[in-house]
Amino acid sequence: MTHEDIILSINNLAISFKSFSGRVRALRGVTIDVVRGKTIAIVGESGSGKSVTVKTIMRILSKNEKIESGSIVFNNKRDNEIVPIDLLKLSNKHMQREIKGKKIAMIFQDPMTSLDPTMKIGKQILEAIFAHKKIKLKAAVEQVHQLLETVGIKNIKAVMNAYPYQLSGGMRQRIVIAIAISCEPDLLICDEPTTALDVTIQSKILDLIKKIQKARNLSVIFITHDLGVVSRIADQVYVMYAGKIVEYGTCNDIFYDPRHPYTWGLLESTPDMAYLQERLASIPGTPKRMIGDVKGDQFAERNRYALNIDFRMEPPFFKVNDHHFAATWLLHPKAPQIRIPESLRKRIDLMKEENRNG
Amino acid sequence: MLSKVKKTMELLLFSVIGVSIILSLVACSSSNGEDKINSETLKLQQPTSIDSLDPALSYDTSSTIVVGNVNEGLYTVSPNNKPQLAMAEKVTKKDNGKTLIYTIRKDAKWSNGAPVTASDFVFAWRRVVDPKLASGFSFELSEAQIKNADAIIAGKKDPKTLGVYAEGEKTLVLKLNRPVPFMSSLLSFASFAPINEKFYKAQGKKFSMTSKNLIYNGPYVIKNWKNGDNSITLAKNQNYYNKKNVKVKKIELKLISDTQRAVMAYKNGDVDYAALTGNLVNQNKSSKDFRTDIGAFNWYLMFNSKIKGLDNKDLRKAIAYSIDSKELTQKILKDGSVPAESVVPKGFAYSPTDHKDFADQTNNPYSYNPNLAKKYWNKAKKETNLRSFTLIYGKDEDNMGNVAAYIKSQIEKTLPDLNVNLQTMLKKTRLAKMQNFTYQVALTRWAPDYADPTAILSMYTTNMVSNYGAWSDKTFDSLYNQANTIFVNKSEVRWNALIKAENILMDSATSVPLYQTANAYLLNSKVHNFINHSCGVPLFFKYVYIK
Amino acid sequence: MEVIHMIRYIGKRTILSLITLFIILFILFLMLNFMPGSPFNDTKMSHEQLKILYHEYGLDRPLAERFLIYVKQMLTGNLGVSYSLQTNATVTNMISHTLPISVQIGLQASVVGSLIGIVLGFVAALRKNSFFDSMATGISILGVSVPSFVLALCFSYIFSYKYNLFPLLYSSSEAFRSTILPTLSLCFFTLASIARYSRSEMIEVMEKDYIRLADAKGITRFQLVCRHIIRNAMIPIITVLAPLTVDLMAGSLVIEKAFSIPGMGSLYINAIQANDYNVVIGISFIYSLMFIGTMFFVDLLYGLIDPRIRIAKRGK
Repeated sequence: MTHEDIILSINNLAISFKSFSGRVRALRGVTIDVVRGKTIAIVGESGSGKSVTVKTIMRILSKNEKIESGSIVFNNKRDNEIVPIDLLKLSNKHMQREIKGKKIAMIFQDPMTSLDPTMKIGKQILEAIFAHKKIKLKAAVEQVHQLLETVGIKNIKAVMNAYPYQLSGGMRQRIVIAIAISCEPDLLICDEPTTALDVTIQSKILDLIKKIQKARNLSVIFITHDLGVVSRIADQVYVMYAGKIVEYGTCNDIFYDPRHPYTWGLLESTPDMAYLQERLASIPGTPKRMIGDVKGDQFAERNRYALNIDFRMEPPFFKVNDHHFAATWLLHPKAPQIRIPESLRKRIDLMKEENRNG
Repeated sequence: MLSKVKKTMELLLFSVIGVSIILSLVACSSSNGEDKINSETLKLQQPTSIDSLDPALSYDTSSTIVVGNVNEGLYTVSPNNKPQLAMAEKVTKKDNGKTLIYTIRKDAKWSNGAPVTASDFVFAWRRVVDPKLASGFSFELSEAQIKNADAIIAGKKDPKTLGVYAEGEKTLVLKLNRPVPFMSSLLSFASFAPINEKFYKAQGKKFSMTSKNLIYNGPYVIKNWKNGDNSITLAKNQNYYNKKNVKVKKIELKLISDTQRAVMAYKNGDVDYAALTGNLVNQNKSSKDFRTDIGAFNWYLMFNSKIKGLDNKDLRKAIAYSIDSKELTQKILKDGSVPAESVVPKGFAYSPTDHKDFADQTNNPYSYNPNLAKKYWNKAKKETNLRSFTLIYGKDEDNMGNVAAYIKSQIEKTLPDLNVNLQTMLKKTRLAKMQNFTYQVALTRWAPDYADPTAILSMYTTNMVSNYGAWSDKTFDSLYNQANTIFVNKSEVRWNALIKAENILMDSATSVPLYQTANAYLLNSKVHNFINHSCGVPLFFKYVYIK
Repeated sequence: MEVIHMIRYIGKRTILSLITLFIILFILFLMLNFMPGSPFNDTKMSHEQLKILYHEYGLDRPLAERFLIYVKQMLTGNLGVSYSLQTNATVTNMISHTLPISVQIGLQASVVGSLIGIVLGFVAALRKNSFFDSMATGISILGVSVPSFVLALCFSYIFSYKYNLFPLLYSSSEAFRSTILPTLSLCFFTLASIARYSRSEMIEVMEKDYIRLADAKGITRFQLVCRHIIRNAMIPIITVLAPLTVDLMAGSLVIEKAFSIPGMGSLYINAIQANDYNVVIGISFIYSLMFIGTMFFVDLLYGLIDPRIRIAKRGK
């Protein structure tokens, strides 16, 4: 991949935050590359650090969160020239004026609470436009109309004059999307944008995001814990656990050839994929909080395939193929030959079958 | 965790520092009270607001002071506490003292120039006894024994039948049931002031509501006042017959109910007189302007004789001997109060022969004596089963909580097996309970309304409304009656009868005198002839001068 | 359409308010009836005398009849006369003399208190955990815990006694200047509680998703604070502010007493102590009226700021 193709690269990002019981290491060296015009998904349980990652991009960390190391380079395209900017080194003012909303936009998890309850919808979208564009009100209103049309809202005038509580969750998320794309950003961050919606709406919103992404050649970072969603939208998948990426690759890599036991667990516990009337598996235990120095693989304790070394040393990334890497000692040449669980194997085969047929 | 503790500590520290800065600012006293007084204006603090300036309706002390100085009656009181003729220039007695004929001064005029006439008095006094007007001082006219006053007050006769008549413009005739030895003192009171009927009728309902709706015949008139104001200004009355002897041109009475602030105002020169209460008495004792006069009130314990056990004389005596009034006044109250040794307070009733204080001439048996107390208690224990009682007191009355606690501890310490329960309530509740005899023992006070021992002793006569102890003694009653009837013109015999009556009352211990209040105040040392009268109108400004 | 709904709403509220008022009045009547003592300076009056008086003022009639008579009189603007406090003065007169000054000081205190309180709270919230925040919290603690009469004393000591900047006592010749210290002493409690309240409200609002979204639009911090944070934080503040304001306007006994202000607060307390029934009822009536009126006003204002409520009303 060439330099120009990558819009955002997160390099070795480490974040910690203060808590009563000590410094909690939220991110421990996260490296992610976002390819221009592609969608990457970051998957993981809650607390795995995916939200912290995107919040760091938007620089909306809480005061007690501290960036220990790393950089987030945004390759800004200006007049056909690419200017790399380290977002972590930008001043707040610059960030606010040049990046947020203008270059990078974000969609939040809960549309019910994402809109200011005291402001009319139209005004909230206009505000986003006026934040970065110096245009006349009339032109801006015209743009709002277009945006609302883009996100599939029919009763445009009424919606503009409505207050958030008068709209359904799906409608509200469409508004949030309209706000996000109002200034034609290059990168769109979606923080679990469909989690709070019911299933039928979920798929409509996903389709909408996909459509907009295609039409505008947007790069998207999509955060979710739902692999079903990932399979529909992502080009690249990063699996995160305990503040680290544990496996990454293309969508196919992750879904058809998962290598990390944690990815196996995730896949097994995805209801969408439970074609067979088997018992839905879940990963035992919960992720533990990382306080102070940590040793070994953080997943080891919950991992039924854990090796001795897992408790002593963190595994490095092992290459599966050019675009597929996983951080598990199981991939070490000297590791015992542990195979993917049989039930998962079956499901993957079935999916492949279906895909071929479909 | 630690950081939170630190934060809290920081906050605490901050608050403590803040409070101490403010307190230190307040505490470091610096007297910058410049001598702002001039010889023309006198500014006085008053603790209560004015209820009415209608002479018949004014009840509150502040109102009485104002009325007493803007409306002059037949008498006023001199600085040496003696009544002297004012609106009247002459009085003749007839009928063995049962008819009094007053001649009104020729030069007595109202502030509108009209002459003060005898009928102005008749009109005013008829209003005072009119039951529909509900004057709080209507009893003064019954005390004065004016014919038909009682019947009129009780609604049984028309006010027009009152024994007061105008014979011509300047002659006022009073018909009395019996002679009253202290008549002149009574008549100096504000409710006996005249009212100009014509003016009154012209005002209608507005009478006395503002200074414009009032008419004056006293040494002062009121300027720019309306009911509810927090200050009232009196100016010299240009129509007053004796205006050349009125020295102070302007008197300002300022309502300051907070004593602390009154002291500040005094030191600031905002007022030239400020009353002191509670701790402030002690704090200001060393000031050169500090004065103290004997107060009007006696505080005492009242026993309800209707309660079984409390009607026992030995029990009451045991209690009387177990209380140390000296300690109470000097260690608990510290406000200038003095131990009370008789039911009739000191400093207002003097012997007609040798001018000795009545209170000094009576027996004062109950000084603190725990042994005697125990003796009487042992006796009482055989006679009554009462081993505990409830003492009621007003929580809105100065210091009574401390006084009650002290009494409880003294009684329980001195008299084994006797329990005192304390019950606190609003003053008005206490009064209601006493009036209905639904109490056992009360901490209460009374001030005499006129300068005669009967002002207090009358309360203890059988069937008197204000006989809250329901005490009754035939000898006492007969002595009291004799003093008002057959001895009424024999001042010395009468005086001795009253002393005997008081001694009987004291011996019965139906009420145990505790202490007499003091009027402690700060007064600019340039003010002279400023006398607090302990009964009647408290202050007459007529004689005051500033030098 | 909206106007009609509004009128209907106001009408409904008015009727409800009137009913509430009458219930308050009746309860007051009942309570006063059971208060100990009589409204007259009665220690030296005979029972016969009191009887005549009671008859004269109609106090011997049954409670219900008295209530009806009172209500009837009230409808003609007659609140009766004072029995003892300002004997035979009309209650309407007494109230009209005392209300303006109480309202003036109360309003001044609530405006000053709430403005400073809100600013203090907001700045403290924006600079959470800074020195300024600790200071603001300190002031809040002081303001809530130090009683107003202590403040009154401190202020008078410093500003009138020591430096002679303001009058020690209220005087009608220096009407405004002499309200400054009472206003300051009175506003502190409001200031402190509003500061505390608005700080926590603001912090709560700042953590809301819609604030993060608005921030993500790239608007400036100033715009974010003005357009989104303050507006949303204001709504709950207004609800607590209104009753506080009425409380202050009804006159503070302590402050009025301290500065010798001829206001309604001290009149009220005196009337209760003196059993001056008509005055007590009259002032309670005015107080209830003010309270109900303010809550009504706040409701309307609330609707103006918070659309959810506005629409809900329209819907009904």
